[in-house]
Amino acid sequence: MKTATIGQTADARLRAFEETVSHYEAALLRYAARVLRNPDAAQDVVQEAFLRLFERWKQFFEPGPQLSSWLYRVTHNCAVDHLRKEQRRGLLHTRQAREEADFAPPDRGEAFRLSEAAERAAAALKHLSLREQQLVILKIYEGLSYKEIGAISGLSVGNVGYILHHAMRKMAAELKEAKAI
Amino acid sequence: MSRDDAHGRPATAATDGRIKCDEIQAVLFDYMTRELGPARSELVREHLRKCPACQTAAAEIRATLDLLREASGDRAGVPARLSDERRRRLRWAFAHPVLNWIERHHVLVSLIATVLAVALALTLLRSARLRPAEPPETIPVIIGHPPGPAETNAAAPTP
Repeated sequence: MKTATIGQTADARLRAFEETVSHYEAALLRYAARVLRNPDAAQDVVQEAFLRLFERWKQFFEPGPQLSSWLYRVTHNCAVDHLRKEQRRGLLHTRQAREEADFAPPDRGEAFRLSEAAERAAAALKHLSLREQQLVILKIYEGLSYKEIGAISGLSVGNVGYILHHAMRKMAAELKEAKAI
Repeated sequence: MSRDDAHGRPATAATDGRIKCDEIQAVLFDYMTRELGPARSELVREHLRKCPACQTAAAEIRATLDLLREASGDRAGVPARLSDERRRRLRWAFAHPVLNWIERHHVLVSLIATVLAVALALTLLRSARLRPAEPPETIPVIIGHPPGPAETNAAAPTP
């Protein structure tokens, strides 16, 4: 991936920007879709993150861990904004109530089948706070280190470990109660 | 004192052979995700060999972790890339930065436009009030009939 600098021509800048989009879009979409549980909203949020990146594109941007952390952070903030808006509209409460009332694994066809216990685990994840969900997704789903998660979330490495420890205990207790583990 | 684990805690903090189960259980997740340094990992491993309570706690965390890892393989409905429409929108933003800025900040732009329009209207109104009023155009009114030529001559002074 090329580095974008102020002195580039418009074409080269566009190419560098598109390469950056292609490089990060899959991971960001996956992350946003996990947080939002809505693929369309995830697309909106990731598009917004790239638009914000474009607004800062005039600054020097070195692709790498710093840019990756910045994009994850902006995507997370946009996702939280989206959830707040949705919550204000009252949609979230209705949806959560429906999800809690009748737990039924979604139909994914034959291509991929999760065990019921894994479905329970995914459902238990939704019951955590947004901060806890963010850390669990980044750690377990995306496989990032505490240091990388700290850079994204703005938390210290110690806090990341502490929050994850409590989140896992909560989930383990819920899964034990549901006899999933 | 060497920093050993992901939390920055020293490796020698719990090496006196009397490690509390609480301390071990607090780092089980770190241990399982390889965030502990080698020295602390060895302490946890050693403790787990001997402590049934911590073995149970570790088994629960491990089972939860495994289920979440299984669930993470579920990519149903997760898009792999941005839709063509959204990519076009990004390219458009790149090609038209000013229009893009206006569109993205349309509330701010509308607010500024409204304030400017009101300010302009007030200025025009004020300047119209400050301008001195012009006297109305007067038309001389003559009462009676205008004097004829004979009367004019008679009234003229004799040299």
